[in-house]
Amino acid sequence: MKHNEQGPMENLLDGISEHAEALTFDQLRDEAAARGIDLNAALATVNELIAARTREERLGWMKVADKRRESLRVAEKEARYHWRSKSPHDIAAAFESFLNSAPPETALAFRNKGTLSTSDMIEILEANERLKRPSGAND
Amino acid sequence: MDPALNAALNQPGWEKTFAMAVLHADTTIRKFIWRGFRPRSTGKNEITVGDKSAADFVQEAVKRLITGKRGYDVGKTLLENLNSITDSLIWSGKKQSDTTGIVDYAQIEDEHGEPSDPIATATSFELTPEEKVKHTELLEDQRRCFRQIRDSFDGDAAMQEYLDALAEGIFKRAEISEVTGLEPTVIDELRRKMIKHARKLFGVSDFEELQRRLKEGGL
Repeated sequence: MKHNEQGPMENLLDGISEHAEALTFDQLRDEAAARGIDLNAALATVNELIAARTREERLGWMKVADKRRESLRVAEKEARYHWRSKSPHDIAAAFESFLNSAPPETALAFRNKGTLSTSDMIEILEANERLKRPSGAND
Repeated sequence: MDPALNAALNQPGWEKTFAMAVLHADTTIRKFIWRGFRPRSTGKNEITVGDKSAADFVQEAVKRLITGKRGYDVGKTLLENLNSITDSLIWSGKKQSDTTGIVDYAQIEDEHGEPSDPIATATSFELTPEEKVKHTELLEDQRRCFRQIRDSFDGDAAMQEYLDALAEGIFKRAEISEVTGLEPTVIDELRRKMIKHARKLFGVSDFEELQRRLKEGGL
């Protein structure tokens, strides 16, 4: 016998194990019971293990979503208020730049509006930034 | 969790797959008895390696798969994946709790970095004279026990042919049917009869106990 070759009893056990494929679950459970194994209890434990893992993965996705939503909120807040710390001169320059770079129909919309206040310009610049943000980012 | 694994675990046959994996693990542990290993018993015929039963090993295998510690091989069935992992775990557990003094093998690690079963994977190399004697004794133990079981079915030619085929390492029903001429349904029936008749085969913790039971009650 080479050390890696199986003897007849090992082969017998292997063959019997392989032929278990033809048995029903109830027959397998009876056979396990004869070997001292409580298959129902073991199955309940492993099913709980799988369910717990599935739950964990589901909650894991929720955590990722919550984290992303929070980061978007922060970005939104920053975008909304950062113009308010600028000087009126900077705001006027940014608004001018916005009109120059905006599509013709946007520039046309402001042509006959008279003189806009600084706070009006802030509102418009913030609204423009919100519009440029990807869909859903304002939630 | 790997989507293929998730799908396999949600198949209607999952319970049966788990049952077969547990029986495979139990068989693997019992096979080591024939290599001189003396596993512990829980007192209900259930045997353990390092305090873990066959069901514990399969549960651990499932845990490793679902947590991604072990990759799910989509080229294999769920049962084959589980069997492969439990074989490694049992071998590792046996190695740690081994106090039998049987031949010491160099530890071999599989592609996942876990100890693999050298009985199944080792390439042949020369054994020391002492190892050769030990292996010869273990083989003789197996042959003697197998003869006792076979003799207990004197008069049942079909059963003896079935046993001979298994002892020769012919496991597939189709192949057994080919070499013995027995119909697959007859083979299933022989297996049932064998298990029913020889439950003690699975109810012993070591070879000496099996011998004692064979002498006491026969098979």
